[in-house]
Amino acid sequence: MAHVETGINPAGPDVAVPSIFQQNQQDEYISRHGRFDRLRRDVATLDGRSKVTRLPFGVESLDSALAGGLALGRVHMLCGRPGHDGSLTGFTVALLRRILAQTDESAPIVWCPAAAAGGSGMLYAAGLAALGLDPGRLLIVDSPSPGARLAALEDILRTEGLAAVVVEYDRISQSSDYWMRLARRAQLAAEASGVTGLLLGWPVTASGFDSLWHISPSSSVSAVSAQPGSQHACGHFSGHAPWHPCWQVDLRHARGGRPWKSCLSWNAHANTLAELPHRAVSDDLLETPAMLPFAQPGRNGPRLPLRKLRPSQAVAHGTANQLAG
Amino acid sequence: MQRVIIHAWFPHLAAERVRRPARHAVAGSVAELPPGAPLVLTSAYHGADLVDSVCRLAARHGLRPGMRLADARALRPDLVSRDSDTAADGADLLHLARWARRYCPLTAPAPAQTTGAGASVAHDGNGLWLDVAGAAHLKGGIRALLAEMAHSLRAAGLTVRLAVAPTCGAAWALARYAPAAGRYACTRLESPSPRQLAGLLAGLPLAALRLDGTVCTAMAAAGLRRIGDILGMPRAPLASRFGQVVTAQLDTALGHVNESFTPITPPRPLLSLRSFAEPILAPEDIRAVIEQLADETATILQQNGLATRRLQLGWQRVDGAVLARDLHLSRASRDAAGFRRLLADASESISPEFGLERMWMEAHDCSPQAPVTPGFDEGISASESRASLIDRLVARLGHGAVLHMKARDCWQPEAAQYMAYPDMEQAGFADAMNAAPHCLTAAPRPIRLLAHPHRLAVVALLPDHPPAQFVWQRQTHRIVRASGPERIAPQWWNAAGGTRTRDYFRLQDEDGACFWVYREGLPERGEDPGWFLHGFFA
Repeated sequence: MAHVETGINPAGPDVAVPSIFQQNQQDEYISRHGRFDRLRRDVATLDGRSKVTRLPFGVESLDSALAGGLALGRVHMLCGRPGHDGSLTGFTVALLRRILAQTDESAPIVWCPAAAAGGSGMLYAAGLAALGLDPGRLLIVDSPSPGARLAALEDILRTEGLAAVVVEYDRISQSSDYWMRLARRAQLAAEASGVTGLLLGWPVTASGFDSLWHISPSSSVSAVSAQPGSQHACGHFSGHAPWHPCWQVDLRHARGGRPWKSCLSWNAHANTLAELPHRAVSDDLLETPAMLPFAQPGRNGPRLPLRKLRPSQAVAHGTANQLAG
Repeated sequence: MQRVIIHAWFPHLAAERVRRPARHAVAGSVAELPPGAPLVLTSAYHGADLVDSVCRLAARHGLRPGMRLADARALRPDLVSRDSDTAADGADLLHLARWARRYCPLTAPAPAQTTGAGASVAHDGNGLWLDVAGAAHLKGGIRALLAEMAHSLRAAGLTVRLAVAPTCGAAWALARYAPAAGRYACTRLESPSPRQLAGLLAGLPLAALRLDGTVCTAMAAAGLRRIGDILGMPRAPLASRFGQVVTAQLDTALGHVNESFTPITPPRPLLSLRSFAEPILAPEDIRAVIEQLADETATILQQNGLATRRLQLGWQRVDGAVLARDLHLSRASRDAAGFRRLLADASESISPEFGLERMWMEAHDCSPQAPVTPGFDEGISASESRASLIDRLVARLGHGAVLHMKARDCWQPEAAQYMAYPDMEQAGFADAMNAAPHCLTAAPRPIRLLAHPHRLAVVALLPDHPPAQFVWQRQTHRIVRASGPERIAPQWWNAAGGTRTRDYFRLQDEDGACFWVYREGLPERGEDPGWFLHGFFA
């Protein structure tokens, strides 16, 4: 093995050989740990895994937490509590808008939504179009069983020519071992084809995905655009106070990054995300009487039977409450 | 060897089709025809409605094809007339010709032809050619064959006259004009000579020679009415006076000049089949056979320049049970690797029990496709890989699992969209969704819509204020922000009873979650309002 130690290339002088085969004298001094690191890096290079395209969010702190942005060609998990399906879907649409801006024109998105009869409802094309996502680009895979959808995930991810894959897994309960295996297989498939995968569902203990997000609605919506006075819109649309979606985004884990948690507001028209101070302004707004002309005093306050309520009585009641509040 | 031609004549084919209830007929469409009234089918010919086909009853009352409809009405004022459909007649005849292939390999339809002009328009009716030479013994002889054929056709509700002759012309003439004894006369003769044939035809009118109506009229004016009248005549004056066609038709009828028909060629099934010497049981064997069949089917398709949209995998068990499985493809394909992928899990769905005796694969719904140059055109494009993804998902999750969203021009939110099977060849992925009408509304629409709206317990001011709070899934949501209402009235022209006008509100609760909530029923009309949750915003 003398020729190896003297640095002579065993495959001949003209053939480029990865550095794992080239051990020169300097390596003698590199520690065992360092050598493993280098070996991993070289294997990753051979696999073509090292070059990750990262998609920046345009939010500085989030991008730095993600080491540059969302990794494309990887599988990400987005969780939200039941009842927060709107926020979860909205954040997914925001991600897809950013991904679509990067990919070619005609590439479709495969979306495997939860069963339409379930509590989270079905995707609604008009709402997606209003957020700037062309529903014609969606290929809906309609299967009532979340297990079947997850089983199809790897197959879909292997397909080239897709912009992204979204799979909703509802409330499936599986062992962490199952998620681990799924994550590994899905990641390999996604890396091979370069298709980004998004898993949507309720919070599960899963690891192995490229990033893990918890999404919930944020009440600081009003802070973005609207002045308190323009909030009250009754009998007409509040056209001057846009309802920009607002989410509390909790990045629990990201490969090569660090956890991050804040409020994000999305301007769908301009496709820009902005960070908001969490609940800073909304508490003030809650205090504003103009905001709550009909609010009840307490969360569990007495509920009035609607059919017995005559307009004159109700107005009196509401005014009394406001005064009391 | 002498030919044995059977001509089957269906004098009332078209009318009998109209009378016969269609297989998928809606009750009432056929019932319009009064059973006791004569039925005629007409078509416009040189500005007049001419009778093309009559039913048996009409024929008995003296109505004939070729009459004017006005004349027919004068004879039978109660007759019912319908437009004739030549294409359907042709399809029926082709169907009958395919059916008749059970008797012999050479069959052909003889569609009706309208000849002549003016007052002498002639219709020769629909017919069928069969050449049963060398095939009749399979049914027990020509007489048994004719008896069986006549019985089957009459059982199907068709009026038919069959005739046998060694030539097409003679069979045609006998079927139409000869009495029953004459039509079957040739079955008694071993091999009828032209002389014997002439004896059979002598008593028939000249129209039996498939002559034009004008020629027949001219010959009738000269006192020539029957074929026997011209059999002994010198040929040259006959031809110079009435045209070559008379002698030519006489020669073909008597067999001096050969005449044949073009038999139909049925579409060959694209089938590859494996019959096993020993029944196979092992899943590996089944899988191997499926792969062979897939490759062979793809090769057959490639050779024929075709591509299929539906594959059928069939198998026969030892106990005789024949089972099959259909695979639908999102676009026409003949890709062997694609077939293999689709059929990868097919072997698990086959339960061989005591073994499989044979397996086969058929390609259906084939369409021509340009050949592919190996190594040059074979690179998989993105759209092809998407199409194969759709196929794989459909194979995995079932037919109808892969869908596209489509918009419908409707204001009812739940009816404004529907799901359709994507047809990539016609529409492509970039759908006409953008041009859909829902984009016209500036009113907010939710990102998720509940298939069935959830009833809410709500505190709200009447008549038209948004809720102050509502209870959903045992949680109280206090509303901090609201917009609306957007009034959506039901489609009164097709709404189900009990559908009421809705006022939609967009609400945001303390946590920031946005809901699409509507109130059903108008308090000012005295209706009892109900509140429902219908969707979620981003």
